[in-house]
Amino acid sequence: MQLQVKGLSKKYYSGFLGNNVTDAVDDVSFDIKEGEIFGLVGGSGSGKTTVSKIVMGLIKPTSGGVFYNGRDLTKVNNRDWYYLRREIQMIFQHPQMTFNPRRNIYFACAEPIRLYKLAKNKAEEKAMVEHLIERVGLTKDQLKKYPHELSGGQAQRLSITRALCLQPKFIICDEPTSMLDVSVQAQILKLLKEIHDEFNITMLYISHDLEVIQSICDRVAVMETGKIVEIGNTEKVFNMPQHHYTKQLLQSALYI
Amino acid sequence: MRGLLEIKNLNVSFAVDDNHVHILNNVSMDINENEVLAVIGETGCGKSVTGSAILHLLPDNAIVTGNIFFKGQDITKMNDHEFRQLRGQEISSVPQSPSTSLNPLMHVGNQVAECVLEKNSSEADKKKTALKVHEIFSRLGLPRGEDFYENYPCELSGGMCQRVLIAMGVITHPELLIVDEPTKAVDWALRKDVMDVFCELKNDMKCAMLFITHDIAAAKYVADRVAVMYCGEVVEIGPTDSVINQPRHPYTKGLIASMPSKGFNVMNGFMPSFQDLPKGCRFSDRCECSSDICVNEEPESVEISAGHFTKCSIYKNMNVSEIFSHAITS
Repeated sequence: MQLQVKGLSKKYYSGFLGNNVTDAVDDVSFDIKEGEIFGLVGGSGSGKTTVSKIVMGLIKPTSGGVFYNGRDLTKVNNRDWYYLRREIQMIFQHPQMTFNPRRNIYFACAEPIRLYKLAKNKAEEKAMVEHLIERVGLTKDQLKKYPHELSGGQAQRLSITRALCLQPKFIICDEPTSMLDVSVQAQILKLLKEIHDEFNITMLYISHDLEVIQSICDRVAVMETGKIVEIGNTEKVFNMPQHHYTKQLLQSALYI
Repeated sequence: MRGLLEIKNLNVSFAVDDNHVHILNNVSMDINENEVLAVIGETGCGKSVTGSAILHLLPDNAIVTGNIFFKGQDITKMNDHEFRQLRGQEISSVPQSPSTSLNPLMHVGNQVAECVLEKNSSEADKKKTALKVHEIFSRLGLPRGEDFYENYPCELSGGMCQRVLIAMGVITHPELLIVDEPTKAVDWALRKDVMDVFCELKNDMKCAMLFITHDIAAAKYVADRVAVMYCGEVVEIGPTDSVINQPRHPYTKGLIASMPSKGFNVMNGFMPSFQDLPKGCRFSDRCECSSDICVNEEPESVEISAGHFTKCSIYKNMNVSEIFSHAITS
């Protein structure tokens, strides 16, 4: 087990004296094996992104734990996160918004390398960035551009580059293709799959698109209003759905 | 069936820094009464520009040539004052991104009523309009009653906001509705609901639609005919079944093959920039069956089967039986 999520809950209190309680995530447990692509499906507002943010350590959960190789991530301090973030990286939903609009693309890719002092000198840093950027299908002359000059698909490739810079072992993909066209979506998914096979990276893939989940994930969990209602092998869940919410989701598919 | 809208050789270019960027190149399509035409294509292929050109909503630096006939009248020749009589009344639109298209400081009911009310309308008129708004809300499956009327957009979910926008578009009973990417901002389960609303509109209100989307499955669900756009050109147009099940243009084939359910077959390359287009066929540098003619000559539109046109040089000198055998082998 590379990642184990045990009884994770996140409550938000609102109103006078905090009387209104919203269960964003309610007693969620699952585990992800090494080298696996694990899918998390659900409608908007079902708590998928909250789970991913808790795993990344961006939000503290109300109760429960996240164990990465046996270590509880919810109790890790900021200093240790610095070392852990080399192993756990995230690809966000809106790629354009994750870049500093005032710095060029070279800087965006080189920043993690500088932060972790992976390169001995400028030339080595440049070689590393160029190697990675070609790996994801961008060209060297795009390094001089600024984020707004890129299309959505190119920006998403760039955020994949940035996640790969640190040679992570675990990547969280939070709806990486929901803003993209079908043709570009196919390119990005193929790239993610290649990276998964090449570097043996474990992935937590979050999406509301069942077709995408079905085609890339090994195992899948279905979430509804903060709870996991069904979990199992992708084939089994899609061919023999047990819970009514899964059935409802599958029925709302539009086929071509 | 009578023609409602006919677009003939529409060209749109934008004046940018002393340059002219040519966006739409000889776009021709037509919509009959009570017919849904879906326009599909990638981001930046000119789908929304076509919609905006029909609605006279292009920015000031746009240069439009060609003709758009609406019920026999050429609307490109109209001035803004004349066109205002049509826009909203007979040609209406549903904009994309519901979260940013609504006024955050106004009750949703009033926003819908605003489309019908004139500046100095009487109390009686306002009451009548409010009833009309309630009726349209319940028809679109939104909760009826004062409570919903007085909601602010931030209190509603994405799917509800989308329906409020649809209500704004259809309250005047337009004859043509231009729908821009209705399924972009909604999730999987809601997508079906939103599409069902459009199917109902088509059947109950008998309203023709220009359905702009990149969602091929959604287009298949609602449309009678489909037009595929690439780089500002219509590359293929025809009945939905024929285009989606037997695509003839290499781009349409590639687009459909890249759907998750068809196995993620990736097309080569990217869409070229509008400032740096290939000389002949605009798809030639990405096409697998590209030849010398494709690189040098701009292809012409060829009728493959009844009402199914494609703009590809492969079919240029073929007769019917050759086209048929080509479709089987490829």
